[in-house]
Amino acid sequence: MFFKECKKAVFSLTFLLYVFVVFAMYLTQFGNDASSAVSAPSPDSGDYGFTATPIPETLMPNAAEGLVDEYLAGEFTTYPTGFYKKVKLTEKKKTALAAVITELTGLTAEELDGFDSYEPEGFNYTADENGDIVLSYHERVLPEIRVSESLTYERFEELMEEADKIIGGGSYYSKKGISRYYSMVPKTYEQALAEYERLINDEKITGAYARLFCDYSGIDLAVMPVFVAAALVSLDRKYRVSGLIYSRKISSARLVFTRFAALVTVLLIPAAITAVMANVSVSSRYPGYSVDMLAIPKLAAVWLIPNILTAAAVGMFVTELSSPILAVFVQGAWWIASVMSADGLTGEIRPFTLVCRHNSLYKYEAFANTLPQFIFNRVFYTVLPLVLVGLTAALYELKRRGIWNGLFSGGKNIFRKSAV
Amino acid sequence: MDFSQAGKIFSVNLRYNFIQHFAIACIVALAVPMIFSISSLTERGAAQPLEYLLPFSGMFLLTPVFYPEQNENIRDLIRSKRTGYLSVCLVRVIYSAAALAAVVGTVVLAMRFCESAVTWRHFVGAYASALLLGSMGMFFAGASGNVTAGYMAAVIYYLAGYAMKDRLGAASVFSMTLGMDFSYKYGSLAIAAALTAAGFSAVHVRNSR
Repeated sequence: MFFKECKKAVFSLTFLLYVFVVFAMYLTQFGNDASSAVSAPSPDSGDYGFTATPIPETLMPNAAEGLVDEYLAGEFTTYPTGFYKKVKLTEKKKTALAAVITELTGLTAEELDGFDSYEPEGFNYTADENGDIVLSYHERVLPEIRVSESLTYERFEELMEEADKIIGGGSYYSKKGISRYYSMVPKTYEQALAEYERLINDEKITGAYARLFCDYSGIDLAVMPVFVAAALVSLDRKYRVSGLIYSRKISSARLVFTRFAALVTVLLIPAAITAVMANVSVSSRYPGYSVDMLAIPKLAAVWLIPNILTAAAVGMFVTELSSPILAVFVQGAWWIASVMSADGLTGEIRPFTLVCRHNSLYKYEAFANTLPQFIFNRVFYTVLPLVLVGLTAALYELKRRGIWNGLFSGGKNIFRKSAV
Repeated sequence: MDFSQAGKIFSVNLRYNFIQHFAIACIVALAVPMIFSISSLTERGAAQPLEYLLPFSGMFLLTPVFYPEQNENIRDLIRSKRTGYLSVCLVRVIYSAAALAAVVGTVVLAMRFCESAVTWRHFVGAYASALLLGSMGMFFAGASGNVTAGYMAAVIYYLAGYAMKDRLGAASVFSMTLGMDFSYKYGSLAIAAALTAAGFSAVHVRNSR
């Protein structure tokens, strides 16, 4: 039966589309990023990118200025779901935020609201003597801002967190916002060299590429299997063989779990092939270096299998519960929420994040810091699908006995019993 | 098919084959203000919420036009009737497209109410994008006889459009967000109509085998 189910899945159109997406994602995303070897930083370059290093002496006044600027403008830029969202505060929230600014800078609500000379930074368009338009930059005009000398960095962080909460989250004053917008300093040569040496020596090159590969592949593997699973489960109904299968001796649990195992096995094949391809491709770009020949497949097994299990299990469960349409909707909504709720592309793995991201060859520390959450997360998304498949088997048994027909199965009463 | 027959088909389908899809399309529309800002947006800024999420309403309303007959019992029953199967599907397309216009129109009006710079162009543009994605799903569902493959194709098309930016021309779901000329939207409507016709032709060919 296992091989019959594998055959059914392999010869379905949804599986062909799945294979297309897995390889397209590999070639256009990872393939593009891994198309050339990383070279050692040159001491003469002077440009090694940026790194987040909180320096309270510069960070605190800059963040305070930003907060006052947005307060006076009456609008706050936020990215609560990854997309730009402009927030305007109610009077009550504005008062609460003014209290935060007062503690931060000493400026009272009256002083803030009474400041009439405010101007945001921008450009002035003026005409010169020939009538041509001349563009000139002007800085923002704010009241004098002095961060209280007695304010500790810990208290500053608390105030910023409070401000972010008042604004509604995802603002420049969230922990991530502070790190991204006010803590960036140029990397030194030594820092860049240390990162490069970690990649070459400690991670045996492919160790770092493994995280990048899993980052990209994890995106499509957290949603595409739902289509294959939903199509496979609805085949019985489509070809009117449900009754025939119901009459067989095989138990519902065995049938459903065998079907799930076949489905997951088939779905794993393209992912495994791309993992091996990635390892071979990266190794070939670093001739003469010591490379871990199994790093990418090993990490992919831990990182990506839970994604496939979850999407496939949701597909089977919701299709059995109701319809393939609802399965696509549920998994699609979950996937979008997970992808969009990521504050950043590194160091953001939380215990229940479905799509784990680490879109960098570097920043190993950010990944290592979230390692306990990552392990919990992957164990959780291995156990949850098994529970869902167990529930699918229970639903199947109810249908088999004629006790229940599924949600939205027609008629006015969605919880109606079957006519049997 | 006369008018009263069409009315009967409409009322029966509305009761059994529409509510679930319409509910999902409405949930997608309700998610727009939760994910995006819809107030005080500029003309171009207003295109983003309309083209990034709302096309999925079209996908959920139009892709399942051939869905009920995935169950071969229903398909046999429909085939035994005098009214042609494609006429029934045409009624479904018409009321689904009308419902989609209502969903898109409601979101555009809400944005206008929130002082965003939206015009009738935003309505036409967002509607064209939703029809385009929906008809893509419908075409694949009809050609393959598999509605899940239709959804999958629509999602892949959406992601490809996102990655390829303006290279898709009139076939892009995101042309307003990308700042492309508005005339591309008329091209999108034409492509949506062509895909719908192609989907119907594919179903006709499959059924006449």
